[in-house]
Amino acid sequence: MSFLVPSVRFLLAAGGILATIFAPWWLVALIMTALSLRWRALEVPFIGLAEDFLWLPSIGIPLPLPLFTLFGIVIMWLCEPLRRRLLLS
Amino acid sequence: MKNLLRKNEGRATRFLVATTVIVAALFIADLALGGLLRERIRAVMSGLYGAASAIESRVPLAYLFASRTALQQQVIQLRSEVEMLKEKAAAYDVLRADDASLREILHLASSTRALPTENGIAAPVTSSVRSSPYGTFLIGAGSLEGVRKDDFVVTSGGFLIGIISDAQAHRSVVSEVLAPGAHVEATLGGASLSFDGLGNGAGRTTISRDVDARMGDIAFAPIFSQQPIGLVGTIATSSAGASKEVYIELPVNVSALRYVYVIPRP
Repeated sequence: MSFLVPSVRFLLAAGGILATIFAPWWLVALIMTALSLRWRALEVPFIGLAEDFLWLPSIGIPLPLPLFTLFGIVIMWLCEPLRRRLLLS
Repeated sequence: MKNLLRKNEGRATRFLVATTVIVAALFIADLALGGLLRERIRAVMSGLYGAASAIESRVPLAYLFASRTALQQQVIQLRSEVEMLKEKAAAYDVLRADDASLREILHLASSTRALPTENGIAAPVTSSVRSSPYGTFLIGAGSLEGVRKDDFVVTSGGFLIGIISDAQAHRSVVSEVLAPGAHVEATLGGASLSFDGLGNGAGRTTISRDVDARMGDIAFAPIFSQQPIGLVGTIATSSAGASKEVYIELPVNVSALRYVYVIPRP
């Protein structure tokens, strides 16, 4: 069944990109978290960047921080030692 | 074994650093280029969203879910009728208060272009409204159609939905006035209140029990040139409390909007 693993990761990543367009934001965050927990998913910050490029306004919120890009970078770094400790990959 | 492990760790760290640097560089490059990258991405996204919407409207799935589809269509139609009636009534109240004539609702054809109309520039909504974590959505009209940053985005009944946040060539980002986390000063029945945005055109405030607020009252935002931002939909009171929670909402379902009007900020 190991041949399925890259496909699952690809599907999740593609789903994450499509979710930035069609799904609520929390689903994108969920997919990013799932990817980071299971794999060294370098695509996660890019999904966050896509979310911010699509939706981040320059006015209207108190501070237009690219929250999803930051979330992607932070979760990618945080999950690396965690995954190593749990020997997930 | 230890050396191999350390070597792998070093390689992994290099990958993470490289990814972080590339992402940061892309973000900074976009800022430096005046939003060029995000404009391209938004164009692709709008295209995908438009294609998906077209497919959804043309493929009825009739054979698979015939009765469900029919019922769903009926519910959607009835809801839109109710919303239309509510909005018409609210629009009438607003305009009577302003001593102006009733605005006519323009029946737009299935065009995806922005059209100049009596109510402002009619622009199609080209993205999902619920997807954004920042309370934003995209419309298919930009600076070349006369849309400017800070312009008002209103419903056909004149209710303020949002403000133009970024105006690109043929596309603009709208920031909802009642986006999640936003605070808007508004007047309701003569009282000045601060509403917390809940997203999707809804807001909430807590007021004293003494303040008179009734269902259907209209909240106006002085900072947005006294534009109406919502109707009182629910009033939650507890018998013991000295205050009550007032929820306002737009008379239209923001997620189901196909067209909005852009009017210049006075």
